[in-house]
Amino acid sequence: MAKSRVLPAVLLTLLLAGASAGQAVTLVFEGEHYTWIKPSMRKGTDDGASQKGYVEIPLQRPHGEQEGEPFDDGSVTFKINIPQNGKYWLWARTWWYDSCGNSFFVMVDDMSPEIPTYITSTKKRKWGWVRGRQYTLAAGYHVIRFQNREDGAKLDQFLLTTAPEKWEPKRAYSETAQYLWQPEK
Amino acid sequence: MPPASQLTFFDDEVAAPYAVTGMMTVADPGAVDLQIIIDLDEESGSCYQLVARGATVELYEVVGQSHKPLGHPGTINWRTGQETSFTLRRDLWQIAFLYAGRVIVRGYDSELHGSRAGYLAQGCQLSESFVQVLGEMDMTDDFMRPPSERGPWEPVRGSWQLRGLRVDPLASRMEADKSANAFSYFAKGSDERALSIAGSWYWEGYLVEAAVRAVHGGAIGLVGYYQDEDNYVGVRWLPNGSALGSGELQVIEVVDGHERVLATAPGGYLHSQWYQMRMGVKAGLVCVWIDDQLRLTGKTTAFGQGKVGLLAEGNSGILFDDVVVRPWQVIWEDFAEDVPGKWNLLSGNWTISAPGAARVTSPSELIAVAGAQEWDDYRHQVQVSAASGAVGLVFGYHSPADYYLLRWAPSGSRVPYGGKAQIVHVVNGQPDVLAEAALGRAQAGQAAVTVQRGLVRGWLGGKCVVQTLEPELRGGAVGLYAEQASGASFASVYAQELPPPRTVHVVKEFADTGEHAEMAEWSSPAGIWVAPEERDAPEAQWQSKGVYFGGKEVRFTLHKVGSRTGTLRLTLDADPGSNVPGYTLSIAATSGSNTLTVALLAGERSLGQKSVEVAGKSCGVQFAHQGDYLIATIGDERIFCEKVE
Repeated sequence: MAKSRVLPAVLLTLLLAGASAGQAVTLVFEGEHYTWIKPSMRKGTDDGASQKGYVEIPLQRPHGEQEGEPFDDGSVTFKINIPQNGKYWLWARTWWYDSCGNSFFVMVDDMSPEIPTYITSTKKRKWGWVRGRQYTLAAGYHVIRFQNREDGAKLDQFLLTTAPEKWEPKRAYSETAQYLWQPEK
Repeated sequence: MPPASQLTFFDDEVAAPYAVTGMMTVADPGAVDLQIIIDLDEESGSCYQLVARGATVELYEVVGQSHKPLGHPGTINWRTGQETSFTLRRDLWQIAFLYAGRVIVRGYDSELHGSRAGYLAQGCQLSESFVQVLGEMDMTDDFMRPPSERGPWEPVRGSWQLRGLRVDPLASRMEADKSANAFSYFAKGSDERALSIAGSWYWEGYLVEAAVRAVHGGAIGLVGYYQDEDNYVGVRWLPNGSALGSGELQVIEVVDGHERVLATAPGGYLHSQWYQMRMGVKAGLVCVWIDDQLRLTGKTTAFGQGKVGLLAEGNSGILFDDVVVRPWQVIWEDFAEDVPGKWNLLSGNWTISAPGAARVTSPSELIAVAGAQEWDDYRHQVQVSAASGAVGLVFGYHSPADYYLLRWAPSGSRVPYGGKAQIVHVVNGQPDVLAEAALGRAQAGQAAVTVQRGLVRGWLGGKCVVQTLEPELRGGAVGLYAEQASGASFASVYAQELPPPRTVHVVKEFADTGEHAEMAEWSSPAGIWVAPEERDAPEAQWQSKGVYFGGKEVRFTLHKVGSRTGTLRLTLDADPGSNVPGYTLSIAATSGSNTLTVALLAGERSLGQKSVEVAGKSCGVQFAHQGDYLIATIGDERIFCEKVE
């Protein structure tokens, strides 16, 4: 497994045209530091994952060889505190098993969307970032859920950023845990 | 160099490879005064500095009071009043400034490693600027997914669709595991060129390859450095007798919608035939391979980064499959011009006077080095001509105190090794001759050194003349060497990473054909082996169906060491039924013991025998024939390294 270098928590310098300078906001969350979890989603460990931890929909036996319905609605859910209004791109650092284990449903605030959104890519058997959608989020609390769509899919981190669309994350990033709500233990 | 207090710094710490990018708006081109600083070491003040003043753009390496120019100054046509993209790329060795996707200035250096980047912009406004980390550029697509999932591709023009399983109305079943090309990407470009694009805007120095097949006619192609549908480079292949043009292979460049053919090679494709097409782009060099054969080379001065794509023309349709994008490590030099900073002359002098060649002018030693490569397996070649003295290739260069040479000199030369070719490791100025061989008369023409899995071979005139094993040799820059050879000339330098060896994978189930015994002969993983008549016989021998030429290596894991008594014999380069017994690695195990008795044989002649202690219950075994060497490894321990004829 290639070494991953953790880059410092980011506040990208973003210069807006005009007199004032603004900064891009990037929030980073570890998959295994969820607010809530529902089986079959479970935690796992891997040297290639940030902080060596991730969450996954475990591989089923037999693993689906054709596209079909997910076998359950296992999920991880995050309650996060967005610091300022903005348009945020979602990126997820994932590991896919194969062509039938390479996606998650993603819900933001609306947990029963009419048209489910999912993230997917063709990169398999290695950790890599996948772009999701751009969301307009007001400052305050929001709920983000990654839900079973195909078994064998793993989630290491995800981030929300107001950086330009051209910006792409590389490697793993330091967590911004201060923006994650956790229930009192 | 402006004081740090005047610079606007990016928060991110930087480390090559990365790019500073954003948008720029210029109101008055004459008033532009822009400086972008990268790799700044705040303690020493060293950095790379891009300076744009008016229409002139220059790149420097700044160390102390010294401002060393890198590359030639560029002239820029500012797009007045328009927000336009800019990028300053800091790759491992190349530094390039691009404006509106065009390369304005390109230089080469890898000495500095400061961690800050910033800028001072006067007469222009920068916006949406950020640091983009580069690297980790790879993509594969076998198109195995339902049609609803588009994958990484964005069709720009034409008709594109995923196709699953062959369309055959006579087939009663369509089973993917019986088909070699069950899924593919199908394109039609009826009245216009069809394009479908993937990848990232900052990709540079890559190979893009695909399996391609034309149904009947049309143009097949690949795209690189894609900016938008009116700006990209590409390869385009036509069949003989095509209405779209003569049967030939083309490198094309499309700039603002105007197309130019940069290079051509004769020979059209055959209809309904699958080919592997590969295109490499790096620092303006464009190379095209068909079925692993280099067919065409071109140069573009327009673009320096961009996405990849697939190209199709014609009504009948083009199929694409197995797309792979991976980094392309290559250094090339045609000496068309002397680029400041590209070559680091450690000693000696040369002139690039005759177009296409560098001529040595120093009477003593010349060492010129380029690149900063992180490759392990590569080929470095040059066209060389020398009437007297020694010439050679530098490789594995890490510092003036640590590098390797392939050098040779004709008989009668004033150097001590006249009449010989040598592979030398120079450490702290002291040459350690690793291998040498007699050399006939003066050698002119193509010379090359290949480094592959630690095997170093020197080639003159296409023939391997000397070789040695250097398993610890890793990475390093390459270069050129001359000694007592004033007047010698070098041309056409080309160094590129060698692809990993192809593998024939045998899985653990290779002997299990219980479910489909009738398929055992061809469809199971055991299909590459000819099974013995009695598989459980004491000396049952499995032989490969294929005949493998050149270097080869077999790897497997030996499980449950100590669980039984027996001997495993692995033979390479044998020809059953003839008098070619090959080379054999014999591994004898005893029940209850973790000690293996390992023997190496040429036919039945022993080349050596050793005992190996295995920690644990299993160990990896590797047996290779590389060049003239037989190499056997058990676990992490090299057991044998024997040179054979």
